[in-house]
Amino acid sequence: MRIQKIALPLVLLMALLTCSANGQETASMVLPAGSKVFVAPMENNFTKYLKDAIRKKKILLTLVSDMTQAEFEIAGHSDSQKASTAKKLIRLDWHSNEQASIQIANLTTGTVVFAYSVNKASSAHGQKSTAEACAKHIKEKIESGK
Amino acid sequence: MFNRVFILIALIAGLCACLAGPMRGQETQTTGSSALPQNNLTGNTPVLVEEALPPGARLYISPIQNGFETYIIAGLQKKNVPLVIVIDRTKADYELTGVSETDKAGWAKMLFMNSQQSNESASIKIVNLKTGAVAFAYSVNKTNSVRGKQSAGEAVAKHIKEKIENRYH
Repeated sequence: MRIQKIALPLVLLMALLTCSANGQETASMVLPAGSKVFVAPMENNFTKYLKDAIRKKKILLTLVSDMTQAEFEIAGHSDSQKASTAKKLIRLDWHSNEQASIQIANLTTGTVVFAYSVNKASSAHGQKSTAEACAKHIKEKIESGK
Repeated sequence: MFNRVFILIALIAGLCACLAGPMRGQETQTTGSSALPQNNLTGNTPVLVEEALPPGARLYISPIQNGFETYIIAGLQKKNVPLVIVIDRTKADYELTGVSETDKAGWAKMLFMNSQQSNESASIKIVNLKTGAVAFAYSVNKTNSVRGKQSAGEAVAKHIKEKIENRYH
């Protein structure tokens, strides 16, 4: 009877620990609304465009300028190819080609929770277009709750 | 008597449930490391090693020229590759390194080929940080890449997924 009293709570505790461990793994891939996000510097001043796009799309994230206060970090790369003289003369196209790629990492767990890349040939609004595409998909990620 | 047997069974079941997660990871890792001794010559015949890349492994992607690592990460997410990408190398089981090169369209290509798309080439390798063995390697070359680096990154991700699912030849 005494063994039974000790054994049953032990079994329950083990089962509880297993469940909570699995839950933590799932939670680490989520980007919750209202999270504090730090946007790391990127090439061609893409950071500024991305911050503007996040505000324009009304994404539920708090942008912080100090990395130590942040829960998540957005890092990435951006490449802009302005229309050359040949492109202007031959194709009569003044628009630039843009490509960008971003990743959002959870600074507590160290895992990447979201990543997205975009390529826009003859982008109508240059880097603004790619930044807004990134912002749109970040919003979708937050709203999905996954 | 019956009570004691029941408690013993319950304890074993609880213990199994707790260890199920970590044991699964260990099993897959042992498969990879157990393949290592096969590298030695058995008699006179060399045996080709096939290092496994288990699903759920923690992968660190080291920086590549032109920020290509972020395109690979985006590709891995898009293709739903079952890997956990970490930003800290010390927390990783595997490391991906590589090179990438972009050749943008010149005026001659625009004039004669009527194409403004770039040529992309990339090559990567994934190393098991515990054993030091190369688990996977792949190179891609895309002439007139429609989506630039994004296409190359997704091609890399697609083949990593095939490797995990043991469909890569």
